[in-house]
Amino acid sequence: MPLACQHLWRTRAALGIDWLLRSIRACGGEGSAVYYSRWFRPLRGWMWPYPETTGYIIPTLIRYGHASGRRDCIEVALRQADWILSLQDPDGALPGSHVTRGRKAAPSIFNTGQMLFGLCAAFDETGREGYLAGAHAGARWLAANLDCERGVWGAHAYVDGFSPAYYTRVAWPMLEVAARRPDEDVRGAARTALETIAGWRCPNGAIRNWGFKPDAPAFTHTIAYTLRGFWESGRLLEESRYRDLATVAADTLRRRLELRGRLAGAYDLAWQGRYGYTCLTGNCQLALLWMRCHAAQPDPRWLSAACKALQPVLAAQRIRHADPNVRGAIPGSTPFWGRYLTMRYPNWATKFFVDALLLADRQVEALREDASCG
Amino acid sequence: MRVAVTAGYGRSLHAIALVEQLARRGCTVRLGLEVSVWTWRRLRFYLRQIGPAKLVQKARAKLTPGGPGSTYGGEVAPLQDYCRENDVRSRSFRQACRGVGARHLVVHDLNEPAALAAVRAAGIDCVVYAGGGILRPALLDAVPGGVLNAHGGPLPAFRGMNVAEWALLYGVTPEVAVIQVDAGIDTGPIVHTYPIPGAAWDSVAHGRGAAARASVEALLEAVDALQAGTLRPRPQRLEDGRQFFVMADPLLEVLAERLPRRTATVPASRFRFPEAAGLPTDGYL
Repeated sequence: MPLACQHLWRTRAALGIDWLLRSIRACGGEGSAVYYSRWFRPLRGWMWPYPETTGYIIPTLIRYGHASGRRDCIEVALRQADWILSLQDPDGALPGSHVTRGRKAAPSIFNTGQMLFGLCAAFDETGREGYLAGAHAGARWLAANLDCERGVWGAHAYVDGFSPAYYTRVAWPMLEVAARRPDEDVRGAARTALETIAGWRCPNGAIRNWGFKPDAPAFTHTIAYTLRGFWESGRLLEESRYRDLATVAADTLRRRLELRGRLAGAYDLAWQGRYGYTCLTGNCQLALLWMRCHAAQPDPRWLSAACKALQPVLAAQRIRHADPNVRGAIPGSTPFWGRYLTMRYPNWATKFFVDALLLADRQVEALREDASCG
Repeated sequence: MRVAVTAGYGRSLHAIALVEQLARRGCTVRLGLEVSVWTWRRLRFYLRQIGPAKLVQKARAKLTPGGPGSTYGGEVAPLQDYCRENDVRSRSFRQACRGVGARHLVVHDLNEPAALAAVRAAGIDCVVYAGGGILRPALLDAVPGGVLNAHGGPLPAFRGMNVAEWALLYGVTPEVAVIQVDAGIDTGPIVHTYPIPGAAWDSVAHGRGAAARASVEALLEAVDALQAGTLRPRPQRLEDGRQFFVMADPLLEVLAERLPRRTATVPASRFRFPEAAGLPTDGYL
């Protein structure tokens, strides 16, 4: 029999998944809309499909499909993987930005990386070589575009000429591909990028360039991208150095949450928080990272902090709303007018929310079965 | 022995019981330092730690101890029993201080100059801490015998907040540890340990209450030992413990479910935190 918290999480995850499926239906079943907002899109509400986040929504749908027995989620997920493959250039590159009226944008390093998650998950689910071949081509394009001398990706960036630290989250999917189809070029390029970014670490554990812009405070969203990239890359490379680097910063953020009672929306390199708003996506992502830390080295303090980080997200999820397209969605920020994705419901906020709830449910269940935390 | 007692709020049964019981044991209670609840800083701290709903619930239970329907009511009952059994009659900290001829002073912060001046003027040997926030070095240095505090969980392993609950989650027998407060968080030398009856932990609220009662008894025993000159402080090593914060509700739910079917627990003296369990093998894309 589930605990009250598990019951709540399952109900809310189901609402979140329904919203994600709605965001895909709104795009004709090909891609999930970037966001829903009556403020930015007064007539339609839904924005164009976004290949990047559709890519990493695929594993969420598959995982949820298995956890809940909803086969339709898995089928939708696989259709999204097929759509991503249809967007791939012959050289393996995948497009950035959104797809407007069927027209895709120029290739993007980060977005290609994120779509590899979806292709890997589709391959894991079906065993179909086409997905892995697509993922491998994408990973090889990423490896080929790395400036090996500087250890950064100079082109195809979100901000021209700026190679951010959250590219660790490009190295991670490259290593996921290499784990399924061994390729030393891909693995080596990922390692080179990780080494460069690890060199940007400040003495206090913060990492330079981990925001969208250089020298600006970083949203917890991109901080979590950076740290998770290091953490998972450390796991795949079996190098504790990267994992430790992520763990130290994750612990600093955990202590800040505990002492302040909540996470800031963004932090600068001195760990000074911007507490005027909360970046809800970042909260979910950090909760996921903390739960990964708990899984690696059982310490329920991580899990406790993760549950606390999810609390404002649960409170912000729209349950009852006159507009049915809002039900189940997670806003970018709380308050709604906060600086991260102001007045919008981005699809990745709901994705990370569902991921975090599924993992929290699993970890609380494991704790129930265990006689003690050891 | 001349002592001062602190109180986190005016109706703290914990502090009231200590004032009356210390006086009965031959101590001269010279000063009672009560921290005003009504400070924005304090309110903000609690709001952040436990949230508005729980804060209201907690405040209601503290103001009307044992009120029906309050989960915090169970926390207060063991101390009410203690007061009844030991004929502790004062209704407020102020009344308790007046009853034993001690000066009673309300402050916003125990570290503020007025509190420091009062401690210095009272010429006391030791402070018995019964709540009121974090103590700064200036106050700690102002008392020759130091400040005694009853920590609600096993030390050195479990430092910080909700430590009895954390200890139980780890399968460790909860106990109260009296320490000489230093500048760290629960890192001062341990002077005395006191068991919390295992049977009290049929629920989290009852267990917390039993820990509060045990804290009073442990502090009284520690002051007795200090008077008799038999107190033997054992320094803690920083690396032997972890700092815990308020336990999140889902973990409290797990603990509440586990308590009734709890079997043996590991004594605190034998407990070590588990080593790394290795990297997980399952991916989570």
